[in-house]
Amino acid sequence: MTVAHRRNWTTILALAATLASLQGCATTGGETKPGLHSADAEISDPLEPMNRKIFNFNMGLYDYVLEPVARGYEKVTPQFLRTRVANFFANAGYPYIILNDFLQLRVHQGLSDLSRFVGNTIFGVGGLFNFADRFDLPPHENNLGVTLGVWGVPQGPYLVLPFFGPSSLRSLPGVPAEILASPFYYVNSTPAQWSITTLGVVNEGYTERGAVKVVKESVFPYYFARSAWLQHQEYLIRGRALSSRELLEQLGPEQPEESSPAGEKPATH
Amino acid sequence: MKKLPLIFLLLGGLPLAWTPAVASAEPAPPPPSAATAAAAPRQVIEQLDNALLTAMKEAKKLGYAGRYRSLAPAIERVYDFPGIAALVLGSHWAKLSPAQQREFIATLRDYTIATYAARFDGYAGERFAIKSVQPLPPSRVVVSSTLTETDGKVHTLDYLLQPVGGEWRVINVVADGVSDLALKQAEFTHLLELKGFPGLIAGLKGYIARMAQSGV
Repeated sequence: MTVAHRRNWTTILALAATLASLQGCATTGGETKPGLHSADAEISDPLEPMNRKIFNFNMGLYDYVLEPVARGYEKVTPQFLRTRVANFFANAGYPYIILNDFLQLRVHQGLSDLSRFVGNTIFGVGGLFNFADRFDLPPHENNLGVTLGVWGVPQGPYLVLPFFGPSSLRSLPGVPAEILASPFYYVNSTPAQWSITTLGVVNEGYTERGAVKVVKESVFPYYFARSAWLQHQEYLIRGRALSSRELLEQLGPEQPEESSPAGEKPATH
Repeated sequence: MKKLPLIFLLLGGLPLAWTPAVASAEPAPPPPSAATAAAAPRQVIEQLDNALLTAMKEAKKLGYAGRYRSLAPAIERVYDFPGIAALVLGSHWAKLSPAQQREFIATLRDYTIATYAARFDGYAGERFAIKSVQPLPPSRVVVSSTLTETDGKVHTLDYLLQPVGGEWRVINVVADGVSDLALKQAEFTHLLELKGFPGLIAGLKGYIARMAQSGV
């Protein structure tokens, strides 16, 4: 295995860990089915049987690997250290977020995220401290799937990826893109790569376990995760805004008046 | 591809309401004047936020059972459980017997309070703020609020309210773009179709038991 191959693999492992914890997030149904969603979030899950197997695999991976490791990490390290580590990895994810901000022409958000990244990197000692929290520079989420959605690319079928969790055909290119945008990809030392990767996996297991727990404890975890993930992606694509029409559409099919684009009936007044 | 929004930690199971069958039996709601549309819904959400903050700040002292008791009155005042029940089950609702409908509404109420009691189990300086109250003619109102975490991350919480029995009640909560009503529909209707009504109730009661165990 070449150094370059090892480097890619360790980075992928790190990202995989990140995603394993995300796994529980969101989604809804296998068929294309109008539900209590905006029309944009209509569900297409033709691969549901396979997706559910991968979902269960990811949940098992979390149960038997990431969660026990995270529990051990919490026992042997002080909160101060864990917070610094979490800040460091969150900060390292910002180049990817900033890139997508600007690709979506969300200039204000991009400048805010860029300021946060530069401030935390320089004055927060490489991101260990959240220097930006002293200013009005809140953290944001962004990814390539959202960018493609903003550009009008259809969502495509819902996918659950091994290690990475909820995704879709449109979001698939985000996996390599996130790796390439990570500063860790450009670290040349193999020992350093492995160290960062290992710590990243442990950190992800630690920081995301609350979210995974919510999914695992839900009434029907697969559908909870699918619905939540799809809805949240659409929300990010819309620029974190909900119109009145979208709010009313949420009231579902029982309402006899006006039909939503998804075929639902909005609320009766 | 993105993580599960942290907001789900807080919104494990908010109820959303509005029941055709039950709501239609209520007295006609007051036509919301501009004044009531702007003020009363805000107070409803403020009451909920205040109850949550109290439970969060005293979380360890109260424990899960204490938080459940503390939050129950406010949650029952704020949400229209019969309405939520009917919306969540959609076309399945009318096929249930009256006794089954009552059982589902009662279980949904417990499910919701249990979720709040389990999730709001500590306080680290989080802040709620109401940003706007906007009418959705002819009778509904959306109260937009934020929850700011200690790391500065801001979550949006949009509460959709409508008049039921002369009072404003929440019929949906949309957290960072994720509709609680849609989440419930996705989970509950699949469970109902797979395991029938007894299976749905058993699933919800299992969830409530898990909340009591993990809520501490």
